[in-house]
Amino acid sequence: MSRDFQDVLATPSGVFTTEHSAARNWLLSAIFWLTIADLVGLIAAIEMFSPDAFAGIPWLEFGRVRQLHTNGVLFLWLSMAQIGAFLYIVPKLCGTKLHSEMLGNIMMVLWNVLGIGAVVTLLNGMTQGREYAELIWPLDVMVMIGVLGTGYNIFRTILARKEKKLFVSLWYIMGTMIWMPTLYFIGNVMWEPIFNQIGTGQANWAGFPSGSLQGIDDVIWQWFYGHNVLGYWFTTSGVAITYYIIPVIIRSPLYSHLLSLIGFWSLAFFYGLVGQHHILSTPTPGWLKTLAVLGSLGLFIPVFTFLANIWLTMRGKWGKIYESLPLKFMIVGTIFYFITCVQGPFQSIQGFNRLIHFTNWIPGHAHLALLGTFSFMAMGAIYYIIPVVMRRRIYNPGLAEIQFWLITVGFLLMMISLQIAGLIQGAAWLNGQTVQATLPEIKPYMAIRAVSGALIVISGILQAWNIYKTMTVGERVVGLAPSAAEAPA
Amino acid sequence: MTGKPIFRMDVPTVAFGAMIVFWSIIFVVVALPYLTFRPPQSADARPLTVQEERGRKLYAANGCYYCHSQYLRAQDWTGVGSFRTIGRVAQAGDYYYQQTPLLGTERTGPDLSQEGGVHTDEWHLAHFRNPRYTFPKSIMPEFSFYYNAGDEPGPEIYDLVAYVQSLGGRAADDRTARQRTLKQKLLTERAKGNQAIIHEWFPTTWRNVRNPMEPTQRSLLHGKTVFLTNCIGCHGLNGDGKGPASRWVGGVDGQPAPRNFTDITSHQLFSDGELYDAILFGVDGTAMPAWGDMLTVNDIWDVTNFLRTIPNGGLQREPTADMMVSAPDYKPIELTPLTTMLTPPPASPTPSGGELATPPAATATP
Repeated sequence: MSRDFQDVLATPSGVFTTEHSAARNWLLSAIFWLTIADLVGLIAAIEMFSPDAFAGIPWLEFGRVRQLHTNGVLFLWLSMAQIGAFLYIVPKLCGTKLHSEMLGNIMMVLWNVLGIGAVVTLLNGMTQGREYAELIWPLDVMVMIGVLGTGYNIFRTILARKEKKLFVSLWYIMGTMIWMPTLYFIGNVMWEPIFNQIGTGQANWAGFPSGSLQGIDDVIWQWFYGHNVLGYWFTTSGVAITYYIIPVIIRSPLYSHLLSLIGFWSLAFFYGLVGQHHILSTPTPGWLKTLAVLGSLGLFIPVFTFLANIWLTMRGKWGKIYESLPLKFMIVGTIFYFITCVQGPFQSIQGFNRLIHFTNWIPGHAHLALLGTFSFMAMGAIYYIIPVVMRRRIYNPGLAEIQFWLITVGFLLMMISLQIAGLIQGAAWLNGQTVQATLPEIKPYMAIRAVSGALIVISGILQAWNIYKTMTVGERVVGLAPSAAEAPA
Repeated sequence: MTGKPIFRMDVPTVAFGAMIVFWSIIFVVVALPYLTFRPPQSADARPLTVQEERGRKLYAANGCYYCHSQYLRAQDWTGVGSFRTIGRVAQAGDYYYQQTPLLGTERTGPDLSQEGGVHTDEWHLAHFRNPRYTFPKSIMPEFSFYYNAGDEPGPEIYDLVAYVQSLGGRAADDRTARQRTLKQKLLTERAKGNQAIIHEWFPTTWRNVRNPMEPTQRSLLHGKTVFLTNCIGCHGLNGDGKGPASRWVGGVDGQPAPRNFTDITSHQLFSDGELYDAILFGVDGTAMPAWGDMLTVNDIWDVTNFLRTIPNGGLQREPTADMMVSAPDYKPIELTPLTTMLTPPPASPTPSGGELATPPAATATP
């Protein structure tokens, strides 16, 4: 272990109290969890074409590994990276220090405990049985504490700001920290166990209390949550980070305040409606489905105002992509965001939904949003923020470049193979083939998908190693304003 | 920032605005459906038993619902055993008794909303042990970890089977009861030495149907392919009914065992048409599932041809027509050509009129 790394750990209290320590620790935790979440995803991908690869190991059974993959990516990797970025961005935009580094770090520790809890419970089959709301009730409580504690920290920072004007990123961050706890509480029906299960000895799910409703209403609530955790948590976070980092790196003001305004309020309005498009063919009220389709189409407004705003901000500065790795990640993220948000509304239209619902097209789309878009944005944020708060240059920019291309190629391969497989399945089913009979036809695509998964896992490990080396032996930057330290060139 | 602010975005505006918009939407898409949409139980819905509920928890714990949906849409005429459940589109009241209905959003495996009673309990025991024992193309994980050291199914497996057999509610109960009754009947009659009881399983017209597919080399080789890719889990690589699944689906405690095709008496029991029917619709009361929605008509006739070569080594060598054992002695009928059946009565001059076969009823002698 190098001497430099001991500097970091020299004063144990400093790890948790120095400026930006909370942001750094959240980001480092995120990087760690990404490697785990990726790896279990790869295991699941291998099982899709070689089902006997890990046969007989209960905790590597596909259904359990899949839960850990989705929850790991969503709540451990992406959530932690985005909160970490918030804790850096908010003080910067407020011209002040974070309200409490200690509180931020306590929440970070709590969230890591939550991560360990998620791994243990999900792999042991303790789940709520609701997609994207799998975490059992005690872990739900931890998520709530983590989000509310972080939200308190962020709001106190904003209220104590020196910079009077609220930059657009702060709108999104405030919105996110208000929407997410409400959404999570309602989506997980978190009060239900308190009234009906805890202390009453009532039957519960997998030995733990679990919030849900009886009958098909539960599905309506669950998909309200299931899609909006994307809309009001990952999307708003990704947009907030992009709105901050791109103008800072290229040193240009944002193109339009008006576009930001339209984007923010239309996103707030339209996103909540769309949850039902996941269950368009279930026996649920028709007006709700119509509303969901309209809401999905309405999402064109916030998406294109955001993208227009960012891309017009870039005008004349596109060349900077070649100079700044974080910028490259962010811009590629916005391009994938564009594809995501063109696909999404079309998928919600009944006609197209008939073809692609239930198929592998959907996981392809999910990876487009969460890997292609928000993971790229989170990686951009990490490559921007870590050097600044550590005051060190990235240890090996070449390696980071390799990582960028690995994950780009890996992701594209994954999305394309999954969506081709999805179209094959959808067309075959509409032709009257059974689901089982289609399996051999999509096997090659599942194999390609596993290869792409391996590329992504390698990319995640390279990132972890590169950041670790940056922390320990990266070249120190002296006398530069923090915001200038990012540009290696 | 360019452009003049339209209105000030200060903390109260953003925070309260965000809250108001969000709560309005929650009212519309969450509260309103909850207040107005309370479907009563459907005709098929029933509460789960304690054991079935335990199975349901295992089903969720192992993430079965990530690959198996539990609702059929109007366009889904294909599910598991679709010929039995055709047209049964999911109703809101089907989920009345379930807390956390497991509808699912993906179909890597077939929809299971009507799975109950489509397969026998024994089939499920083999299938959970290793799905490729009963369906070699399956990519479902095996649940061998719920089987104890002697490969005997543990209590979890029985819970899971109970749950899966409950899918479909009362309709599933009817199907399951039918499977169990037929199994009992088969066992009782066979215990009396009445092997011919199996003929009651097939429509009498099928008994007299001869394989319309000539046993060409192409047909036999294709039949062999179909057999090797679908049937060996139970019927075994040698066709002797001792495939890996046979341990659970038959033979142990007198359950109907997978048919031993190396035994010539088996071949003399079944006519071509009966084999066809057995493959197409399955043999209820035994673990033989329906292959009709997986195999084509040609597939089934070809494999029927091929099965006849197994006693003479069709699986060990390249099957040829002269290896085929003779089918039982019956009075065959010719299938009426479809074109003829569609042709209007004699009044219209039709060249194929002369090919009219004897009507089936006239020659049907069971």
